[in-house]
Amino acid sequence: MTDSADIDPQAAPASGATSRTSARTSPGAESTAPTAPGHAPASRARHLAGPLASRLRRWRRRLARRANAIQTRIGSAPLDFKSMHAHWIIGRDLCLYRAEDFAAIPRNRRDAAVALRIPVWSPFERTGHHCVWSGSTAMVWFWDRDAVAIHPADLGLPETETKTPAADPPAPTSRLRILPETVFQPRRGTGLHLQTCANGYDLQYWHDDVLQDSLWLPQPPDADRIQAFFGQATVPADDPTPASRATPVASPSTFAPDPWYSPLTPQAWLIANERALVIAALAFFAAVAAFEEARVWRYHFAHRAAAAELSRIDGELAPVLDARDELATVNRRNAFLAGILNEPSQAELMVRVDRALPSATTQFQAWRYQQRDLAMTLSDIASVDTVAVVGGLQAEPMFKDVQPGRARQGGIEITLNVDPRARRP
Amino acid sequence: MSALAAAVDRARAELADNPRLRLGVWAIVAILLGYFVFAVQADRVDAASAQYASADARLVRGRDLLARQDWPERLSAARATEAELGAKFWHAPNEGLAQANLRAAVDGFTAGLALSEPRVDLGASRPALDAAGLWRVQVRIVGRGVGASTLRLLHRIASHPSKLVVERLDLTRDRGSMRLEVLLSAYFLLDDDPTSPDDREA
Repeated sequence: MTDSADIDPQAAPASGATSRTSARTSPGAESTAPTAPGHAPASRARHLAGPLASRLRRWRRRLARRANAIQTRIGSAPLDFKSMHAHWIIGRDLCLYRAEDFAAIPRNRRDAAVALRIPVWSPFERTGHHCVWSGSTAMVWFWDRDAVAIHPADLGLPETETKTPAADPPAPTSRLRILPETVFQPRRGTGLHLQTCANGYDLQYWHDDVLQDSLWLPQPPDADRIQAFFGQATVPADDPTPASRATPVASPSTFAPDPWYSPLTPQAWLIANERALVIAALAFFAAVAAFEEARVWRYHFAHRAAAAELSRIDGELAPVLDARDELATVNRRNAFLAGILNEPSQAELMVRVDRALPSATTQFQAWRYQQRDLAMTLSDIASVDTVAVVGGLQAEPMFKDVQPGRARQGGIEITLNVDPRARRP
Repeated sequence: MSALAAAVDRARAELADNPRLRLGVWAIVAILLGYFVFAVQADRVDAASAQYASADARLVRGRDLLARQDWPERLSAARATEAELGAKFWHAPNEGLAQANLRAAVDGFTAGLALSEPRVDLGASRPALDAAGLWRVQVRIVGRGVGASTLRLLHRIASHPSKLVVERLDLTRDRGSMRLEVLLSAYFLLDDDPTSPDDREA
């Protein structure tokens, strides 16, 4: 990790990078009138997300409780605005600036490419840096890490809560972010701007939302200095800014509560918000576990109350249970006895069959009854009307599954099943 | 101990330097926590809920039982029904006398009927499993006769004051007469049933 909490430089050289401007911290010359800022066309999604982001920012500001402080060449001092994270702001006078296009580098390797380029650009032995992306262009501020001296008292923290980046390990505590002064100042569109800093002035040339070049000056620049500035800056041919030599009006030194937003890769976002995510996840799991535990205990106490009530009524219940069990036994016995008594007699069956037969001259040739299955052979002086016989027997509710069986000598066989429960008088 | 401390320090340093490793560790922790919360805890809730539901159901049943005050009345009504039903069954002091009673009754049925080649065989007797003290005694009657005598026999069986169940009946016309075979079951309530629980305990 670098000093910046927003980026995570790793591996891969920036071989395809094209340098556009150089870092400078010396005074300069003439002025040019500022042009209107040109904003890139916002996409529909960004347009819809805008109000939401603005609302979220307002909420973040309401929750902002952390102090901020700035370190310049003349020393460090607390700032009077609060933000979500504590920031140790490196004054512009302590930073070098460089903008470089990394369009040739795959998007997911650009942070690593920047990190590899820093030692090439930096004159310092140990360099801290912060990078803000605008499309494929990296706007990078870097500083001497050994020169950074964090005074916890300026942040309203006890002495033990922060460490000097010069100390080993070099990384500051995760609760403190070290960022350059410029990213708390207004962002411009296109043109030449003079930004008043906590110490000195920052002469800035913007083009299409990218800070193309930046020069720190202890005093406001004159026309010659501005001319020299443009002489070294890479200015697009269609940009009329250098043609107008007017000295820009110095913008007052203001600090936004949040630094410039820089689009993050998912991994960088995860790392940047690691602490908050872990706390949120732990809180979520703890809440769910507590909720489930509460349910367990609620059931436990309810079970104990039910068991106590059961043991209380147990004495009263014993004779009732005996009576109920005895009643159930007697009822079962009665049902069994009634079932036996309900078995139809053969005389009754014969009467019912006789009533159901359509012809009075039909005779029984055979009658075989076993376990409620009846098979009978019928004969008649005339021929037996099988359909009428089966239909008549089926009309009797007590007879089920009435079917004609095999034809026998002297008659037809009818089979049926007797159901005493369907008996009607 | 110092080797362990050094290893812990190395692991901490590696974790501090390697965000991907940290991400993996947090993911593992999240999976373990998720398993604990959504599997282990949920199972505990289910177990506690089932335990409570069982106790609550028993309590509700118990309260319902206590709320009914008519158990003695219902029991006496059931006993009265039992006595009423029992009156329609055969009664005998023991199994041997039960068989003798049935044999005597069957002999009475067949007496006076013009049955040729009559034969009466007493079959097996065994206790009914669903009613203590109730025994089933079977008898088989085989004979040949004219239609009227056969029907008279069936009528006598049906109209006997004690219940007789015809398990099987074969009636076949044969050369102008009827061949008869009937298997009867008579259900006896024995006074000293050896299979009844009271007798077994004695």
